[in-house]
Amino acid sequence: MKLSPRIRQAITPLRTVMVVYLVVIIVLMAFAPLLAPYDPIAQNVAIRLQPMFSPGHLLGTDELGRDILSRIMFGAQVELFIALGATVLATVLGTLLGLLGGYFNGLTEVVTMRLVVDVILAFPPIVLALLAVTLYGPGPVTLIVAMGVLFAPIFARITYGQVLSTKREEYVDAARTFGAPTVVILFRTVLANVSAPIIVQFSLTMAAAILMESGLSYLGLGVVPPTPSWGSMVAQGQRYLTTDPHVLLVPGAVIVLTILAFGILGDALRDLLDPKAKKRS
Amino acid sequence: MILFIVKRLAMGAGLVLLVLTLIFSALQLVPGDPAVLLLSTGDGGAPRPEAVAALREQLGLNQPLLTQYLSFLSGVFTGDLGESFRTSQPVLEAIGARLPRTLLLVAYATVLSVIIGVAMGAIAARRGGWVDTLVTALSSIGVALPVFVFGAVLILVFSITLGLFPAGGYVDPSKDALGAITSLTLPAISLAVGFAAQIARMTRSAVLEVQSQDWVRTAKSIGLAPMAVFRKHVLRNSLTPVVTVVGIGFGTLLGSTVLVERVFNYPGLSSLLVDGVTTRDYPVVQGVVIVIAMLFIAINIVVDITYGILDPRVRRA
Amino acid sequence: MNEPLLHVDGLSVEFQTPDGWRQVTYEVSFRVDRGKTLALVGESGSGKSVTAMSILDLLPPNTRRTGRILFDGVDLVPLRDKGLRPLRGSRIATIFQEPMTALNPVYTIGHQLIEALTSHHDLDHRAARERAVQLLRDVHMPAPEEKVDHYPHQLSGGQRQRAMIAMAISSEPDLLIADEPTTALDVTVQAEILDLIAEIQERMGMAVLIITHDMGVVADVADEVVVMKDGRVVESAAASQLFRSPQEPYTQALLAAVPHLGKADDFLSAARNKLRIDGVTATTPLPETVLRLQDAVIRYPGRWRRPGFQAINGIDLQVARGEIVGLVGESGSGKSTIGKAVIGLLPVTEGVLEVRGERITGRPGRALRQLRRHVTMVFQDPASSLNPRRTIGQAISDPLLWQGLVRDPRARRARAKELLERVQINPDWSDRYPHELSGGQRQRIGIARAIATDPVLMIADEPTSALDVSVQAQVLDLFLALQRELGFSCLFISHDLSVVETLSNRVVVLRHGDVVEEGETEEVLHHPRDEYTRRLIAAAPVPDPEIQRVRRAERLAARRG
Repeated sequence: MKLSPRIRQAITPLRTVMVVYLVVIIVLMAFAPLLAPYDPIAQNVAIRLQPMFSPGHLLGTDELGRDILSRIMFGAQVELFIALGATVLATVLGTLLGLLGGYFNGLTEVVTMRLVVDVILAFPPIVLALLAVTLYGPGPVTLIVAMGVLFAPIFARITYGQVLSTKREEYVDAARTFGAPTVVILFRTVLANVSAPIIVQFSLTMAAAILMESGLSYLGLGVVPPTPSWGSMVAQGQRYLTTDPHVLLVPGAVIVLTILAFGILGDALRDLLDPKAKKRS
Repeated sequence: MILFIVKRLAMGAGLVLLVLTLIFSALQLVPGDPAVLLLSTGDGGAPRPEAVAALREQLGLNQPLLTQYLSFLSGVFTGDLGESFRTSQPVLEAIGARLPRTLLLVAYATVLSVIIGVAMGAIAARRGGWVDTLVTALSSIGVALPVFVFGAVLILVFSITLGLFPAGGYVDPSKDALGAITSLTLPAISLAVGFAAQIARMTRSAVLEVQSQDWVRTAKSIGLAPMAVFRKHVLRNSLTPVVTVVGIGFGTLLGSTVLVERVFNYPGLSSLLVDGVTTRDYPVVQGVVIVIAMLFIAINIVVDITYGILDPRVRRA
Repeated sequence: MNEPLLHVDGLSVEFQTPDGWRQVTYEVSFRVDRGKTLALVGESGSGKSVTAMSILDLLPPNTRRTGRILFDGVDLVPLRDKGLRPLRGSRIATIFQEPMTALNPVYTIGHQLIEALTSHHDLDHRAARERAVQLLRDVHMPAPEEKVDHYPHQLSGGQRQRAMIAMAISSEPDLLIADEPTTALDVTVQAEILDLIAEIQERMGMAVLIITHDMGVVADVADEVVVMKDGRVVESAAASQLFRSPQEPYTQALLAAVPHLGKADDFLSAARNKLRIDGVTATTPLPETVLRLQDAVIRYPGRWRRPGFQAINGIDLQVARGEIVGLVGESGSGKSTIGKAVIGLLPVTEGVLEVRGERITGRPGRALRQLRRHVTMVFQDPASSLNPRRTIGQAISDPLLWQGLVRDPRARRARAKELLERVQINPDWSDRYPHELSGGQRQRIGIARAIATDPVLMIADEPTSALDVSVQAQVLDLFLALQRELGFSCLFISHDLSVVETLSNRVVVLRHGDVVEEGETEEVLHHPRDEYTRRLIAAAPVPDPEIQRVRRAERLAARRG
């Protein structure tokens, strides 16, 4: 297959590994009910705290005898579902805000970009999420909405910036002088130009969402037990750190790898789609 | 220059007002009765009507909206942030006790991050080659590492296995400065990893961009030594974007202390917040959020003004 | 003392690319004598800048030099940074093309001057500062004691260049390397800067190596000339001889392509006699006024309560049917603003704008749509005025689509190919994208697009300023031939008087938003009545050394008197 040099440069061995890893995780998550060896919430105190590579339990068991591998797989469902929901919401909300603010200027611009975006950005992210959790209780919906709102500004800024710079392009002016309907031209050009950075940011936001959600679950404020989630698994494992570190380290490693994978995917997409942005890594 | 500072302060004040309004409306925008929501324990049982009524009275929810808003604002500016549901302690007092501890931790982490981050980023940009690849890889990992995972690993390695640092807790610096620093080191490092990685990335790309600018060639052409050229005409100009990242990152750091204080059992502001969230002690939560948000806005104003000092072109705006 | 100050001997420069080393210049040799000026001239890609920058090794990393560079007998090539540093800024100084980016924006110019001074001399801060102010005075910087504490962005282009020159002469160098020092400046400022360099040269006995693409500048300052093309030296000779009898075909072609103010008739083959259409000559009374601006005021929108900047202060302007009117002025004159207003990109704030007798001002909407069809524009930068995502065929035919003139896509494609042929581009290229074409070819596409709707009036906004000199001549030739054939009127906006002379029937001179002079081209450019017009004409360098010598003497006399 003849690939352009840019594509060939973007596909490094590391990135291929990461993409494969992500695919594996997604498959495991999607088919968890079929593939998981055990029920993730089935407790069996007799076999609690089995180390890794024990017979029948590839990743060992936790302090209540639950199979860690199964819990990771079902946990993946939760993580990815919430992260995806939040990221999609952030993308839609942010892009809309950016488009409106960039195209209309005047009061609309002030309201969208200054009022909404800057105010959201005035909070350290977790703090706003915690406020939401206090009022609306933990659970997937609160998390998705809160994180969606938190991550929207960066999409808004990307889109806004793109609209502004496209408006300044001379060929847009030139097209106007030849009678082009401005809205159409602007819209088509902006979308064409903005799709690459948004795709890249989507991947990076997935990473950020998983990071935040696992943190909230760690504090016990994310997903409600007994639904397994990687963050709460880490929290539970902390008590057994000295004796059975794998209870904490396995979910911890999975969290790190998944976040890393989305981050690297984002970088790879950037090299592939938007080579001009390479400097701002 | 003065005009620039005044403008920036005015914008900051406006933002403060908007943020406070947002926090105020958060309580009002809850579907249903906020008091009910705060009291419900999640096990399905409805709270007792008398408790609900008492809570409503305490939160002032029965008053007209405008009155609530104004008393909220005046409360913030006079320092009256209400009292904790659980302990009845004035929230401001509770915050006042905890805030310096968290600030100490964050300051320690920031200093570490800036030193390591700027150094690594600058060296990576200047040397290129394998150094650059290594630094880029490390910063990718650093950004992906959740602080609570890393913190636990640090405890496992340095505290439990090697016994070099305590696993957490709090030492009063006024009584035992060295002990305080030692016990803060692991938490600070956990916080610093992600931050340093971000700073390194920003420094690297800023230096790369500045290095190819024309004035660097001019500096070379007047006979300056390479180190002087780098210091005065590359690094100095790279500082501006780095300062912005440090400012924003500081705020994120404030947020991340929420996790670190839990891992290391550190009784700072963030653990007060988390406890408040867990027990639905709304005045405490609201109070901490307000304080942190104000701090964050203040930091950003300082960053903007510093930006104006570093880059004279900005002052015109 | 016959030993040249600088002797470049067989210098070749290579750049490192992912595919290996690529040679950029080939065995370049020339000599610069003490106190003399040598001009290194060529078009883009000739290697002239690379050669000049390689003398002090100011090239980017990953470059390699072979050959010898003898400065006062010492070979500079084997010297490393440590050996070159004592020379840089002290015996050999450099000034660059873009003073805005060549000066560090976060330090005052005083700071940067002092930095240049203290890198070679041991001075305390007070002495250094005094010397800095004195240097600014030497380069005729207005209000030097104030300017010394200003930042680069607070100075004008000419002032920034003076600051750079002050830095360069701070250690009284033997040789000044000037890389396109005036290309980014207005023509009157350019004359001042070149005069300044000449003055310093005489005072300090300094030699100058000047790099430029402008033959007028070469005629103005050079004693010796070296012509470069594609990395090689094509010809070197004394300036007077080069202009009088160039030996090499490339040099001859280069000189022939430079428009010479006063010799317009020889320049473009299509410009033989500037007849307008239908046998109408310059003396026929105006048949039909295609464009009329009366008492037009154009103000940019302001912010909040402050009124905006007024770019045009109530002017009258007319273009008749079949006429080419040249609109000239320096930067800030408002000429581009007028172009944008006539084409409908900017509103005319006060006054009247009429096209073909139809009033445009006060009737937005429908009138503007009419305008789009009859008035088209050719933009200065063909790279940025063509949508990178549309093929050139589409770019040309899009106006037909937008105006609803040709609804059938196949008919549009056919028309696009027809237009491509008209502008001498292979019609099979209609599916290519703009980035696949050269600058001159892209500008032809811009012209093709502008004639697609058969306009009555075309606005040409500096259409050739971004092109190399040889390409410029071809494009102008094409433009004039098309105008003859199709009969459109034209408002030709330019800062280059000699280009305007070759094309226009009438000339309007603009300064700070006011018309200072207008009339028949011959009259205005050869018998100017206004002081500013006179200055403008006197400052524009002509590719003839004798004339330039006379002009410089006149300018110096005027300044002393």
